Amino acid sequence: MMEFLWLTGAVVGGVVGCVHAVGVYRRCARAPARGGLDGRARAAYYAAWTLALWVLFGAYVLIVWLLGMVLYLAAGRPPPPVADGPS
Amino acid sequence: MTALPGGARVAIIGAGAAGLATARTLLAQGFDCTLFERATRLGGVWTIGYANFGTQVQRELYAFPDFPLPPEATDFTAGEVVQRYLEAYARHFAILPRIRFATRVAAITGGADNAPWHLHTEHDGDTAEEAFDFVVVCVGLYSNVPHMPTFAGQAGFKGEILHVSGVADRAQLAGKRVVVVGFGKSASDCALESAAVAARTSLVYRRVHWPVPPYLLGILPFKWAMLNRLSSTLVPPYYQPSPLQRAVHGIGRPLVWLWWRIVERLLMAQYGLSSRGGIRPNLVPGHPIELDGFGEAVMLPRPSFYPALRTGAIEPVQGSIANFEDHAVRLDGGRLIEADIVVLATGWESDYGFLPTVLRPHVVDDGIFLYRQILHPDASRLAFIGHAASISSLLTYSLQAAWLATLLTGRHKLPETAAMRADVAALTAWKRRTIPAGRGRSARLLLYMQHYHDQLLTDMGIDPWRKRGVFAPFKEVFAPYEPGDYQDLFAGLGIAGAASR
Repeated sequence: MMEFLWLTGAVVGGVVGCVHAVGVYRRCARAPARGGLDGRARAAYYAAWTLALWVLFGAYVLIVWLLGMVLYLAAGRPPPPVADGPS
Repeated sequence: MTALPGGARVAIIGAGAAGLATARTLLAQGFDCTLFERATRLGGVWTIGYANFGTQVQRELYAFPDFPLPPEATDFTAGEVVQRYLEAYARHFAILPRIRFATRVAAITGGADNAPWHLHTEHDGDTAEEAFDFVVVCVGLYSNVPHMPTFAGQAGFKGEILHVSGVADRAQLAGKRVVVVGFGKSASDCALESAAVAARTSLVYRRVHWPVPPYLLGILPFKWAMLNRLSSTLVPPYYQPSPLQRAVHGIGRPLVWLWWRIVERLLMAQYGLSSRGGIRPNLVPGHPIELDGFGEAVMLPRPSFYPALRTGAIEPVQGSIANFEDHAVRLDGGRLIEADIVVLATGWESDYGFLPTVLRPHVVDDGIFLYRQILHPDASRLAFIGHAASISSLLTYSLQAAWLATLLTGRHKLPETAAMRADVAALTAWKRRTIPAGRGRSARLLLYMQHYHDQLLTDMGIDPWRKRGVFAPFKEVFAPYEPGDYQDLFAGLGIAGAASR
């Protein structure tokens, strides 16, 4: 079971990580140059880190999300908290 | 708004932390700055501290990004140390000769169609009028006038009723029966002072707040859990959420919801908030922590505060004062608490009476809502610095000042007025949906500090991701942001990295 969750988490993390890494790459490539790396190299470096972190932590994120889903449903799907409007 | 020529005359109202940061930045750009300070010392709120007054955060969070803290500064830096730090900052950057002390700005007139603003000032009984090309309002959220609610029967009370600012020394409370009203920072500070010397201390509050400990579980400094990009993604989305935030709070909602419930349970355990079957006071807030992070809450109570509540050194009493009696206060539930001194830790009044008439209609019960917390679309050549309550406020003021400096030197441009109005409307609607009501709501940022700093830097054309080194991408996610991360922006004060003029 743990192996299945671990593998599924890594796959889900990899998919989410790919999407996130693309976003990070675009953002970094647009950002003003700074430091030693040029824009694209820096963007690729950040994107690679993003993907790696998602793959590494994907299983943990998936487990917390599944646990959260169970408890969230059990709590009656409370809406996001809202303040009290104009004072 | 067009850029100002070098040497343009700039009036800065207030010589507190925000005024000093503004002066330092604008002076470095070649503007001719004059600061007007109604008090006889610089420092703003730090000059009028009550007993036990100090910062609420670790030392490195309450610092200018370009001026090191003195060695004597500690976590929860004492008010007098902060005051000396501000004085040293003003001396170092040659701001002192620019300050006109004991000079109150009574009104601002003019300013229409890019005409100069006229400041009407009062000093030592004399009045004067002076023209300036630009005005920066740095008076903070509140005036120096205490907010003192009135209660039935208080005229007949035989004891003393004080505002917390009137408790300059704990000796005033020695041997007395003291009732402190409120549950904010000043209330908790004052109650602790009272508990050390008073015969009895009661803390009367309407509702408790979630405490944020300096060290989560006694191990992890709170900044690692609250001030990094990971945690800033988990707070309810900002008014201009990134695609990542939208996804996290959409499909990821169960995860976010569970995260905050876990945080609440950890805080309950760390501080012993639950009543444990009635054997001690119930201090569990009735509202979720996601909302509490943005109210007038105790963000970081002193370490001895909750133990004092639990042990009874400070008696926590939930309720509101219904009326005063000869030697007591009666709460709305009927309970009578005998008192010799009642301390109202109920904050300060706002004072925007000196603002130009074009802005006064925009001052509402929750303050004045501004574009980037700095400009109002209806008043060109007038800005607010320091109208932003954040966790690391000296950093926030410095970044605001840098944003203004790059704007005034033509290194970034404002959007069209209609776009600014739309932005302010979106910000207002979001704050009223997300942040509990209060007189400072328009200025409140707190856990949205990172989002706001990113906005300012992006406007300036500067990459808001400041972390350096091989592990920079990792640090961007998990490491806290603090003033030191922005130090290089201020080196030489060309506002390094900003789009060139």
